[in-house]
Amino acid sequence: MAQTDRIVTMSEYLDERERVARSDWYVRGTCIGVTLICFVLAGFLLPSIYRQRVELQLVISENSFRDMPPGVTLPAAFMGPLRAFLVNIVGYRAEELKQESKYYELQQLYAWLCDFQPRMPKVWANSSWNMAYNISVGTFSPEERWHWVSAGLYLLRDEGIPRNPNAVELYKELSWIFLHKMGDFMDDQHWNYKKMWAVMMEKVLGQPPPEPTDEEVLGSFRTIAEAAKAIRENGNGKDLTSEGLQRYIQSDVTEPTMSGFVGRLAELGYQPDEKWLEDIARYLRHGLQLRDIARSDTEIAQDTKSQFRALMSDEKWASARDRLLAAIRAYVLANRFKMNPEFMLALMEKHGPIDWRNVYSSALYWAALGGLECREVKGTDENVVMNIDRQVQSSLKDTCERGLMVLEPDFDDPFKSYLQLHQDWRFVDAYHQIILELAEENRGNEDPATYYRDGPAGRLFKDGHVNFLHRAVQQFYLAGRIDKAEFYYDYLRQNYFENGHVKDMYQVPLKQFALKGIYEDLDSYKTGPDLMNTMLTNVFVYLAYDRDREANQWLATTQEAYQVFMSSKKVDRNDRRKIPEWPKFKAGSFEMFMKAYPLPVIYKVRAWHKVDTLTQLYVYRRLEPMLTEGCNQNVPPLDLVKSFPPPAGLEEFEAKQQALEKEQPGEGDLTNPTPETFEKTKPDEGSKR
Amino acid sequence: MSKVWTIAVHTVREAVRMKLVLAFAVLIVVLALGLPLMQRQPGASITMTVQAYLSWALWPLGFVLSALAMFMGCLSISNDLYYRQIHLLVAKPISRWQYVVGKWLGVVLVLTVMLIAAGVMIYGMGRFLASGAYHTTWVSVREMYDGGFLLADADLSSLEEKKESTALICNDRLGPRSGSDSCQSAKLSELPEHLDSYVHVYDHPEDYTKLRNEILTARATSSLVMPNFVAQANAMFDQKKDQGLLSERELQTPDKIKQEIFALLQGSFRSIPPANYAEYTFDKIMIPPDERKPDRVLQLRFKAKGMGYASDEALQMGWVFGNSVNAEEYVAPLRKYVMERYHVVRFPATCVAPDGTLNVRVYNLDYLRQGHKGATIAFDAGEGLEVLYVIGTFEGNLVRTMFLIWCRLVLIAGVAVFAATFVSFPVACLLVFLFFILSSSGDFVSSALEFGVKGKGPLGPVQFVAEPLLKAVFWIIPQSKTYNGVPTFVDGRNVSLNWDMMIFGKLVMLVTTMFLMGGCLIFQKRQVAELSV
Repeated sequence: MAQTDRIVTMSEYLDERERVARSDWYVRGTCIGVTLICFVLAGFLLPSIYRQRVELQLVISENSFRDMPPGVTLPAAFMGPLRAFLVNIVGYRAEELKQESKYYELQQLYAWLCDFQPRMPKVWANSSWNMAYNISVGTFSPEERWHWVSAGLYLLRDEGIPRNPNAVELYKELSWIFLHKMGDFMDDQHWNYKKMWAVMMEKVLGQPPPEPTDEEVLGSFRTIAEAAKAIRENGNGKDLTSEGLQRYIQSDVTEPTMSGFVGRLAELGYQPDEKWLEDIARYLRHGLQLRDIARSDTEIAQDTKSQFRALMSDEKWASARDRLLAAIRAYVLANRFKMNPEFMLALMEKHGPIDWRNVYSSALYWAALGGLECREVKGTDENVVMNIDRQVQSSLKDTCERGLMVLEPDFDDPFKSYLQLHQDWRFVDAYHQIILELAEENRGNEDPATYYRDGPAGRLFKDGHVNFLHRAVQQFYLAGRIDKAEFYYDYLRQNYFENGHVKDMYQVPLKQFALKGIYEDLDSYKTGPDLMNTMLTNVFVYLAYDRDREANQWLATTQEAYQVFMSSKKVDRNDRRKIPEWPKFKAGSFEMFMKAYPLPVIYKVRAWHKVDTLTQLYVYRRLEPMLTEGCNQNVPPLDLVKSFPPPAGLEEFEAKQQALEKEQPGEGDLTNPTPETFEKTKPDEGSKR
Repeated sequence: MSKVWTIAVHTVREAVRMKLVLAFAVLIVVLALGLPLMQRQPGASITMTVQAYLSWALWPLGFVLSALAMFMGCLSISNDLYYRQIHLLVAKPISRWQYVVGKWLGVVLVLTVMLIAAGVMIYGMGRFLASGAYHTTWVSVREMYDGGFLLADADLSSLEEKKESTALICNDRLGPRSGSDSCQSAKLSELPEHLDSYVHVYDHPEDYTKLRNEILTARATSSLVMPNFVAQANAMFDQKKDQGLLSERELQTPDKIKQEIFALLQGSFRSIPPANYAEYTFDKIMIPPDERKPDRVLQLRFKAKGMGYASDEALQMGWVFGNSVNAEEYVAPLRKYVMERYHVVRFPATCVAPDGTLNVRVYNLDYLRQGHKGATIAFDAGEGLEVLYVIGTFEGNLVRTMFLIWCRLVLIAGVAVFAATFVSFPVACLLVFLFFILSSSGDFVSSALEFGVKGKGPLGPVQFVAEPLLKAVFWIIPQSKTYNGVPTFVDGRNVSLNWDMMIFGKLVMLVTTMFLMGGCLIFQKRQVAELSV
């Protein structure tokens, strides 16, 4: 467009410039005003937005922020978009080093990866998984393996979960490390993980009594849970702090007071701390100990902890000692193991007398805690809930099958500890219950009549449930828990039918059902003695483990089996089996146990002290050379007489036996036949068909 | 030359006054001495701690000093121009090239001093960590006595080992740390007299051994001796041809087919079917005769895959080192090895024959697994099977590694001075930073750009120009992985003098000289003062 040229005077120019400038200010002012109004209006929306964030659980908990170290909050705050770049670099380097099997800085790199993304559960889970699984198997020594498995475990337990308490995935992963990596038999060093964990927990909780009742176990742990509650109340109301612990100890006015006992401990150079707990576990063990049977010329016999033992067993201080012990245990469990003693007690009350030294117990704890969390978090995937419930079930199943622990700890080198896991049928009720709960959960909207047509565990769990109950009935019967065996046998009869009738296999009496497998083996003269020998070995193993009740029940069952075997005409029409009379048969089995069963010497000593005198009389001379050599070679050397005292009346017994042998020249010991006995028995072997 | 030296000394003096250099010096001290405190690897072994420290200390050291080289190099000329000090200098009888070279030399001198100081600090801290001071625990002798006696004599013997490895008994916990002279070594038999003392113990002597033999050392590599498969491949090709097993198309590309047969032969040489064994030879293992002792341990490092198995499957393998003819035979403990990971098998030096050859028999025992037919085990090419033996010392290796870092610093300083001769400080910094990034990016940028200039890439139509240009650029900008000795050093492998000399030749003598000459030429023509009438 053509413009007309016009000469502008200076005053016009100045006026125009002023007008434009003024107009600019109007525009700017208006914009600022609108912006301010927008801000104010947005401010009105804030409470509503914040409320919705809380409702939808989109806020990070106050706790998580408070506990975060500066190393996490500072990078998160200052790095801004660069954080993603750094994450890539660190992640790339970690993966590269892993591929090259260079593990020296991976632990740190994974810690950084998690620090840079503290709110991403997948990062925590993946880092932990890499360390516990992928890296650990690239190492060989028990120490290295445990280092990586524990690094994965601690990353989740000590940092991942506290910073992401709502991340169910992390509970599941942690529980899985306990259940699968440490608990299962896939890793060739799983025994070392189990030993390490058991020793770590025993250092805190001490050695459990040999055969406690469920009530005793729960009662003992209840004191810890109550102490935890008291420490929390004396502290900040949330955590078990050292201030809370101190106040709790100082506030104790019941005589004798905990403070008084702390003073006595101080006189011996102890503080109420983990070291004290460890020394209790180390020096105050139940039953026979090596120091009791060591030769007097060895240093082990010099008791340097006598004062400590005296104080710890002084009845005058017993109540204060027990309260203090409970408090310190609660404090260590909460702060070092990140476990809540009150929740642990709740699990024990629900499921049974959990032995916390077991890895399955920890698996159960974290899975159950995860299950609790995920039910509180909105919008949690159903599959996640089901998975974590399945882990609770698996933990209980493993506890039933391998939960009873026999541990002879080596506190200095836990991998050298002796550890055996046995069936623990005290958890049958809990496992049975959880299967019923899972079945109901799994039913969803399906019609109950259709779903439960095959039994109370539904279609999915039926076979597993029935098989489990069969074994439970047998084991309860063998363990002398007839009431429990009857209960579950009745349950099977009443709930699992065949064409609307009680199944044929449940028509027989309980004894016949429970001992069916055993009686089948007794029907053969070849397998019968083997079976009885195995059963007797169980008796001696239980004696060695200080589990006298179970040993006696097994002994009674074996004796019964022996009578069945000896009286069965089907097995022995012509009296061909020729196994010795019961005392001799038992003695022969005991001799085999002492010679061949792989147990540490202290257990053999315990078994010897508990076995009956007649058995000892039969085998003492035969075992004597082996026992003497064993005592001399043991480190430290043992006193033969203290360890394996000769049975009373040995000379008389031997004289009597010699006289008997003279009277009955054909009689020999067939459990340990010699060429002579063979020659003697040959003519009796019977006729050919 | 004295004029160049004068400028250099002047630059050094200037640097001493600069707060920037001081800040970098503080940063280096913090990095070298503070890094161990930053490690968050609870329960890590001494070996892990030392390796992680060396890696973290040397990598940032290179980075920080490179940044310093960049800033100092750019500032040295830019500051003179900005503050008009150049007017005084050009008025003196100093030629422009002397000025540029003097500035570069000054920067290099400062960097050299800082690098040496940092090297000494890192060495000291590395040795401190390696002494186990961070890992040992203070244990009361009384407690050890109680524990030891409670357990067994076996534990007493391990006490002896512990004592020998650390050998300090002090009258109080602060003894050696507070410099008290109340510490003394004591024999086991004397322990009861020191019941109230404390002993410095670390429970893993094998960790010390590993650290000493595999990390704080310089290990050379002997690779597998491969038979000459070329003749065999040719013969097989001819045989196939004679038998008419090759198609017309294959006959047109005989070299390709021979190459395939060659690769196949090599692959099968590295493979062991189940229930079989392979015999391999390594040569040129240079161990002096007096070092060929049973307690001298060598390592065989390998990575294998189980054909048809998942990557994390563990297969059982047996290793027999040496032969009974001219070297001792050693059978390594049977183990399961996780596939596709590097593993180390250790064996005594006596297995190596006097002529420096080593025979190794590898048994594939995977068939022993119940219910498995077994899998063929195949070793990776390259580093998939190698023998490592000690050839030098940790100190020498550290010096050679530092020399590689120095070469890089010299180059960066040269590039910085070059850039400062024709652009202002911030632009020069950006240019050097770009150079640094391109040089450190590994193959990523170069391969991405190569793709761009080829075929269907955006610069495909001008490939004939772009490709040589790109090659020239990446020849001038050497890739840092070719002169980064840190991973090799941290792994306890030898950073060879040859490598040092090669990098010195290329980085310092060639590329840096080129940049400096360019800088001198440009600065010669540059107008350093504005003419005002």
